[in-house]
Order: sequence, then structure tokens, then C-alpha cells
Amino acid sequence: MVANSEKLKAETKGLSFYYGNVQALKDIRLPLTEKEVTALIGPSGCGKTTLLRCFNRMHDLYPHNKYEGEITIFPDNINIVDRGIDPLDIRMRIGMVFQKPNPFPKSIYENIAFGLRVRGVRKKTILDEQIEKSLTRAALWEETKDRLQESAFNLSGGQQQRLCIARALATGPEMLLFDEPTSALDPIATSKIEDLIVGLKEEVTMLIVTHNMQQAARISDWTGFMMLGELIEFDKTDKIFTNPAKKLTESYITGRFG
Amino acid sequence: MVKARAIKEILLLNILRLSAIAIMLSFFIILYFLAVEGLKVLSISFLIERPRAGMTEGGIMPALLGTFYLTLGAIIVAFPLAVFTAIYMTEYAYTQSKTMQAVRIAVNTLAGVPSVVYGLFGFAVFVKVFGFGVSILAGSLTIAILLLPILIRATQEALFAVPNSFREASFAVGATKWQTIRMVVLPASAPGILTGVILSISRAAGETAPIMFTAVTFFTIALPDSIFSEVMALPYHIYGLMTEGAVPEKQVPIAYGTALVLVLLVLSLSLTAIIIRIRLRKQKKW
Amino acid sequence: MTRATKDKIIEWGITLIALTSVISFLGIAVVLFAQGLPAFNFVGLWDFLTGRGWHPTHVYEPEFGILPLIMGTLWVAAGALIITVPFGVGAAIYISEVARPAVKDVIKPIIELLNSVPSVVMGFIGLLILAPAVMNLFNLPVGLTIFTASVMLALLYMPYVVSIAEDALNAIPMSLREASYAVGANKMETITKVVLPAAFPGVSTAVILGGGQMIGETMIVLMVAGGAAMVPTSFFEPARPMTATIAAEMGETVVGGDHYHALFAIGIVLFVITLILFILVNLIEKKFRREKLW
Repeated sequence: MVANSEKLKAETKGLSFYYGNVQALKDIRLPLTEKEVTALIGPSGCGKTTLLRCFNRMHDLYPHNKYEGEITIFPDNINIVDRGIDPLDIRMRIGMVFQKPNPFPKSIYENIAFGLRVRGVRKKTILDEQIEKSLTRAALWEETKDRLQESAFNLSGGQQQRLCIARALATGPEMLLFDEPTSALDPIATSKIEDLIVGLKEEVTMLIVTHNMQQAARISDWTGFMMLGELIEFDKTDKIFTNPAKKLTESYITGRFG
Repeated sequence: MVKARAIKEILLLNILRLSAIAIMLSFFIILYFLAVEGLKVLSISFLIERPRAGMTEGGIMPALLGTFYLTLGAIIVAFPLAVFTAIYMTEYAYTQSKTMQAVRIAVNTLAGVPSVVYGLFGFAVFVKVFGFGVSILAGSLTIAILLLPILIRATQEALFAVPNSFREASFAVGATKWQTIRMVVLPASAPGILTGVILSISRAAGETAPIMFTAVTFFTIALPDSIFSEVMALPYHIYGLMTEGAVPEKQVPIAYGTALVLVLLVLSLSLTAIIIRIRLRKQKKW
Repeated sequence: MTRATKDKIIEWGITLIALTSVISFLGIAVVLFAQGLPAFNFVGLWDFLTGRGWHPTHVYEPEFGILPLIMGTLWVAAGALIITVPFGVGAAIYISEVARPAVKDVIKPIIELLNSVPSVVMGFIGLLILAPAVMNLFNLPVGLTIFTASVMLALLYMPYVVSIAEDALNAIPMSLREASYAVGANKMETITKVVLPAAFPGVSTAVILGGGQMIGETMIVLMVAGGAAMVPTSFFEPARPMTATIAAEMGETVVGGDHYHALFAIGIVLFVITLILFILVNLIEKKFRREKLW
């Protein structure tokens, strides 16, 4: 499926996940190519968000969750769902953008400074510089440079989501996880976010969960189709959308269910 | 048939309305009596003078001061304990854990323990075993324990109101649990916690039974000079004026004045808390 | 020290602080029993609970029967509940089901303010305003009766019952009401046949918790219940509830004497009542949660 020449950023092998006794992911094998966008699609409850949240160990926040198998990240070749690995270290390297924009009830400036502050950055010059840089990369600098001390809640929904992307970018992550980042936004705001994601490909590897198949087709290089906790098919995006190998995938993308 | 149904409905709805009105009316009647009788004696000198002539003349300054010390002491002790306990219960503990179960049972039961039983406990432990004597310290500690469950619940409510998405966002950029609590959860819940603190202060100021044998005296010439001094306090002063002394016709007006002062104090605190909470609800954008 | 270790240490610290409540709870239990159990050296448990004579300071033949005190407590609390339940639940239904939002925004804060009036002020009002009125109205020798105390207690805990009952009513999903209206029921029928039965467990919890608070209230019963240690036979007699007994006598007793231990033994009785009510409320909630279908 994956050409060998592609450089991998991460790969899951035999990954299973349990909420208590309920198995939510079954034996997932998913490679993520460096500096490309991989999309996960599938009907509600198929496990795509669950899989995404394995990558920054978000499940560790709640009791009785269990991982099995591996998610290896490269180049250092470590299994990030290993119990011995501190989830903090993982979240320092892999950022996340959530379904609904969730800025903190703080100023625009403090929202982006947050990740740096928890890493112990105190110097104002560094903070200022990083904040400008992240906002610029998130295509938000022009709109906000004169109102950095205003509450983040004064921004529109689309701006808030770009702020959340800037917040995730500020700490220089190797990888970004997007959990249906545009599902709460209008079409114009959505297309801005999509452009942003495509632009970010130069710098980071991205994994995006989306409900919207057109979105997956527009912005991703690779697509995985999931159902009932299994990864049914994984391939180049255009292959999945034009000539899927599995009947189930075809039924889904042609809208027969889901 | 249809008509009977409609009449019945109107009747019931009016009975319900009347019960709500009756409750409010009784509140205003109480305020009315306190105001009419209390205002006769209320003056600046009533607030800043010491009692004279065996409690039959003068003001209530020592009682005001005593209530201030007792309340302040109780909050200073109870606040940090309650906030950290609430943080433990909402942010750290898993519902099933044994410690969590124990803490929850303790907090819920403490909330139902009669205030006079706190008084017994405070007397046996703080006054006698610890040897603090009848003092500000013993009284403050006793009230502090009584406030614990109230403050814990209020803080928990404020913490619950912080959406989980804030916590997740914080963890996702690599914050530790404590950083998340300190930098995100506590700032977002601060107004809610403040409301709880103000309500607890108002509760503490009005409590009588827990301080009866641990902190107060009906009459003392000296103002408190240390945390080991016994004090006068507004609520006990009202009680004392009604049950001790020999000149009731002179004591009752003073008692009215004291009651008015106490009620105004307590109501203005509660009102502040209610206003903060209403503002908070309006402003809230998450 | 890494951030993760620091975080662990903080977690331990916070857990340790959380145990203060457990320690306080156990401390209260230990102290009550340590100081109260010696009472049973000079009065048997059964005689203590069922004895009709409470004369702890009698020089030659002191008696330590608290039946009059227990009955005093129960009469006063029962009287208060009889007043609180219809008014409190009625007001809660009015606020939650009937009142327009604007009206609600006025009523709720007022009832909440009533909640912050100190009990000693309620006792004071009862003593000076209600007691003379009761005396004249019912033609009694004194106005300090169970009835007087019950009315003031009912007023004090009205907001408490209203707010818990209102929470229980608010927890009923809108869809249940809509279903009732959809089959042609009017507001009254929806309230009495759908909402109230569904909210019954929550409302009864409110009543139990309110009753528990009333049993534990001290200042009102101390000031207006009349103070006679006799088993009451009507609401218009004076009584001496348990809390009032402790509050009135603690100050004049010899530390470590028989009377002192007997007062702590009364404290044990109050504490045990608190525990029983706590368990009762939990059982109701558990049963309710299991049956809850929405």
C-alpha cells in the first residue's frame, strides 16, 4: 500500500484500544507519511476520533482506558503508547486542534503564550516573537496584531479555531492532530482552515479526522476509511475516492450509508 | 367537564403562586419588624461604642469586632482546605477510588451534622484537649470545620462549571495536571469560588451554637488582644440580651439593633454573592 | 526535578489535604463516643433512650432519661415539616413549572436571601413577635410552644427545601412534559400526573434533608420551644429538644461529670440520626438512579 520511498513520521502496528471492557479499536495498522496530510473518514462511532486521541495519549486523562500494540514515531523509533512513556513528553511533540474551537478564557496573547509558559519560557522577547510567528502561520496576525490583549472570546468562530491552530503551532510540534476542526464552522471559515492546513504541509505531519468526505478529498494525501473500530482500507486519497479496493469503502464514499 | 378542568387548573396554579408569595411575604415581615424596631437604636455610636451599665446602654462594637475576628479566622483556615479538597474531588480522584469514596462520604455527612455537635467537638478538642481555652482560636477552628462541607461543595460546583474542553486544550499543548489546574481551571472558576466564599462568610457570621461554648462570652470589658482571648459576638449577643441580664425593657431594643446589624451584614454579603453569580451567568461565553 | 515528578508530589499533597474532611468526620465521631459513652456507666442505654425523667442536676437522685428530649425534637421537626412541605414544594413547582422567567429571576434571589437570615435572628423574632401572637391567638398561658418553634423552623428551612425540590423538578426532561401536553393534558394535569411523580424521589430527598436540618437546628428551639423536659402531647405545649438541651446546659456543667457525659451522649444520638438520614438519602438516590430511564 505504501511506497517504500516515502518517509514515515509515525506508524501504528497492531493498535487496539479499550474503554473499560469495550474494545473501540481493533488491530489498527496505519502509516503516517512525513509532512503530508492523512485523513480518517468513516461513519459516526467508527473509532476515528478514538484513534486520533491515541496519538497524544488524550485517553490517559480518563480512567480505565487501555492501549495495546504500538504507535511508533520516527526518527527516534519510540512507542508512544508504551506505559513507560510519559504522555507529557508526547504532548510536547504532538499538538492537537479540537472539534469545537476551545480557546482559554484569556487574552489572544495569553492563549498562544500558554504552551510556551508551561514549558518554562518566561522571557517576553521570546514570547512576543513566537506569538507573532505562530499567528502569522495561522493566517491570523493581520486580524489580531492590534488587539492581542483582547479576550479570545471576542473573535469569531473561524478566528477562534485559527487561534487554536496558532496555539498548537507555537510550541513547534512535529505533528498536528485535527479532530473534525471545521464541523462547527461556516463554509467560508472552513475553506480558510483548509487552506491553512494545506499550507502547513511544508512543516508538519498532520492527521485529520473528518466527517466531510469532500474535505478529505480536497486536503489530504492519504485517506483511511474506518468502520466499527477497524481500519477497512488505507491508500492514496485519489485512489480511495476514485477506485477503492473494498466494497464497503465504495458504499460509504458513494453515500449509501453513514 | 371542560370548564371544570379549566377551573381546577386555575385554582391549582394560584395555590402554587400563593405559596411562593407567602414565603416571600414572611421574609419581608421579618425584615419589617427588624427595621422598625432596630432603626430606633441604630446609629454610628451604636456601632462604635462599647456596652455600658451592665449591657443596658451603649453600643455593640466589641461584638462586631468579635464576629469579624471569628469569621476571618474561620475563613482563613477553611478556605485553603476546602479549595484543595474540591480540587482533589473534581480534578484528581477517580470516582471508584477508596480515598475518593471516603472523602465524599465524610463531606456529605459533615454537611448534615448539627451545628451544636460541632460546638461539642470544638469544646472537647480545641478548648480542652488542645488547651486553647474559650477563645477566638477555638471558635474559629470550630466554625472552620462547619464551613468545610459548604465551601467544598461551592468550589466543586465552580470547578464543574469549567468545560472539559479547556482542560483538554491545556493538556494537548503539554501542560501538566497542576499547570492545567493553576493556569486554566482555577482562573476560569475564580468568580464561582468567590461566590461560595462570600456565602460562607455570611453563614459563619450568623452561627451561634458552635461558638457558644468555644469562643464567646456575653460580656467582657476587654477587647480581644490575642487569638486566645474570649470575645463577644453579634449572634450570641442577641441571645444573651434575651436570656441574661435583669432589665429586659432596656435590653430588648439593643437586641433589635444588634439583630438588624447582623441581618444587614449577612444579607448584603449574600446579595453580593447573588449579584456576582447573575453577572457571571450573563457574561459566560462557554 | 522533572515536571512529571513535581506534578506527582503536588498530587500527593492535595490528596493529603483532602483527607482533612475524613479526619474531621472521624474526629467528631471519636470525640462524641469518647466523651459520651461514659454516660452509660451510670445510666443504661435503654433507660437513657426511654426514660421519661430528665433531671441531670438533681442533687440526690439525678435522672438521665432523654425520651422527652427526643420526642421534643421529633414533634418540633414534624410540625415544621407539615408546614414546609406544602409551601416549599408548592413554591418549587411554581418557580420551576409556572412562573415566567422574569418572575423567576425576582423570586429565586429573594428566597435565597431568606436562607441567609441567621437562626438566632429567627429565634429572636419568634420570641418577640410570634410567641405573643400565638399566646393571644390560641389563648395559651405562654406563647413558647412546639407550634411556635415549628413555624420559625419552617421559615428558616423553607429556602433550603425549595431549592433542592426545584433542582429535582428541573432534572425532569422537557420531553416528558411535551409528551403530556401532546396527549391533551393541561398544565395542572402535567404537573400532578407527570412531573411530580417523576420528581418524587428528588422531592422526597429534599424533604428528608430538610427534616435532618430541622432536627439539628439549635437556636430557634432553644429560644422559643419553651424548654420543658416533658413528653409532649400536643403542638401547643412547650418542649425541650435535644439540641436545645445541649446548648442550654453545656455552659453550666462540670467538665467530666455525669451531666457532661450525658450531654455528649445526646450528641451521639444526634450524630447517629444524621448518619441514618444520610444513608436513607443515599438509598433513595441509588434506587432512583437504577430506575431512571432518561
